Amino acid sequence: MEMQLGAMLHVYKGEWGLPSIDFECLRALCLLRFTRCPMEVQTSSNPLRSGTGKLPYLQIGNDKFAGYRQIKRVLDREGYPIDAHLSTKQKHLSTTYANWVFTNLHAYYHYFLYGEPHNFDTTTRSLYAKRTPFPFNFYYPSSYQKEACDVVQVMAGFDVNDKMDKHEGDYLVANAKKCVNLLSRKLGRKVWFFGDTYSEFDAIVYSYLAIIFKITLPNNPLQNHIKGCQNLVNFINRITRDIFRDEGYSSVKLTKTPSGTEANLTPSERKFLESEFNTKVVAGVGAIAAMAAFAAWRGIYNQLTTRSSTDYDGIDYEDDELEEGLD
Amino acid sequence: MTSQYLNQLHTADKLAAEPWPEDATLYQPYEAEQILLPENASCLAVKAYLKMCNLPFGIRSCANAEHMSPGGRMTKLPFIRAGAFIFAEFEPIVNFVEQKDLAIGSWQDEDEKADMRTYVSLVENIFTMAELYISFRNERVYKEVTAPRNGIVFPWPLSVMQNYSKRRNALRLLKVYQWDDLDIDAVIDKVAKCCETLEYKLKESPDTPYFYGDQPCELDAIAFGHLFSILTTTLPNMALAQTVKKFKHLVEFCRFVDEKYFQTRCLHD
Repeated sequence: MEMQLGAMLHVYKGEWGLPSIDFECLRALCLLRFTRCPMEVQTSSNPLRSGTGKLPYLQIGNDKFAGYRQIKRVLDREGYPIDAHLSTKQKHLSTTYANWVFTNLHAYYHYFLYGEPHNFDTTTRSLYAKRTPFPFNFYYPSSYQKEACDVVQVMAGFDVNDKMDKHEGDYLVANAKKCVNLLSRKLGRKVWFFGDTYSEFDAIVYSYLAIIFKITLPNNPLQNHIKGCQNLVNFINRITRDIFRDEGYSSVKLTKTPSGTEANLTPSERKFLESEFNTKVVAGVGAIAAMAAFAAWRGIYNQLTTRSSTDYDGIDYEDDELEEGLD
Repeated sequence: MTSQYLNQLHTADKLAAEPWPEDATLYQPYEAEQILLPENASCLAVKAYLKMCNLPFGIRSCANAEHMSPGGRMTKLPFIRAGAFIFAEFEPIVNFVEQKDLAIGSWQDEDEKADMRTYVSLVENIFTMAELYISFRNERVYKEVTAPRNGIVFPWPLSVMQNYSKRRNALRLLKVYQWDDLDIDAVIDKVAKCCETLEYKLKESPDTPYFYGDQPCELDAIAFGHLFSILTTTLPNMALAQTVKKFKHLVEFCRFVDEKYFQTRCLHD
């Protein structure tokens, strides 16, 4: 059970008190923290550094393991399996339920977070862009949108690039609501879905529901539905508070009460705007310098100064002699 | 392509009064020359389900069944036309039959039914993905079996284009369900785990041949459809069949359902 030194998990930074904003990263973090694996977590990561170009990825020495499945395999091998305390029947049930939750919530998650254009442009893109280093933050979040296009086409049968009235989101919402109802029923009053011990199923449910519940999207029908299931809300808050006490991040200070539009401008966003202001100043100066250099090259300064010396009547004389002189 | 959800919404109101039509027809590709492994499994599952419900239906084989289908999450086949309604794939057809109160499994309570649905979803996902993987991702199987079978109903240049587009669709399906970066051993592992889950479930009720109680239910139908297809289809790569054969209870289960509902077909070992 030796964890090699220097093992580090790279994920996206969190928001709204959650340890990460991304479903796959959150899943991987759950694997780590549920089993109390002593690994460090790095939140300011470059997704293109991982082998596959996506977060999360795990770095041990020189080896990189990208993606949830590989990370899980590494953890199982190193002695931190997430299903260690489950009986055989529970292990089977965990896989079965996890697959079923995937069938119902995956499409909803991808459509409402990345596929729906309004949601993506106002909220999700900026969330991901802030957590991706320059210059990738301009184009990298769109890769999530492309992926969502495939998911929605296969699982819901419509194309995200079509007009809004062709989007058949009701089907996804209805399925997702049924799924949440059943999850609430399954959980009942228990601490974990399988009684006293955590399982991979808890990780998956937490990862989907926590993000859908906490994210501030303009169009998110499931959010209120989850609010109506008190036991699921307690489940999410308990795990966020107890297990992710150190990793939870929220850019809004909790003491400040949100007041209209000011709440939208969190301290980190203000800092971002200011840094952009510096960039704007630099860009403006650069543009003026470029224009001045071009003008100088074309000789406009010489023309201006010579003109003012010959132009004493306000009448433009033919500058034949001057031109011969210049040539 | 109409939305499955809207379809179901509309039918829920109109359905309860209408009886099952006499001329309900199931459309599928040609069985001997054209149909592929995942489609065969899906069709067999639906047929088993309808037989278990004792509902009469006719079978119509057409070359363009896939293109006539209203659409679905995986293979889009088979699709059934019952009166004015058309539904494709196992789950929507089952929902349709249940709305008419004609379905088996009405003796189950809510929790058991919900559990059974999750098992059905697991079986459908894992086996369909494994069948798609072996049919389209495995080069040998694709060249020797899938491509000729799929293209046989089209003249030459069109068959190449259809094959290309079908393969691209299948690979996209595998990518969305996160199966595209697996190697064959991981696929076999997943199938084995699923079979283990099924066998465990079967053993839970040792006195009865079915998964739940002494009456058949949806899980029996879909498990039979996929397992039987895998066992009886010969491909250049028999990895799936060998994996399933290791689970004796499941093979026994397939033989039992086959004898009971499909007396004319037989299971070769």
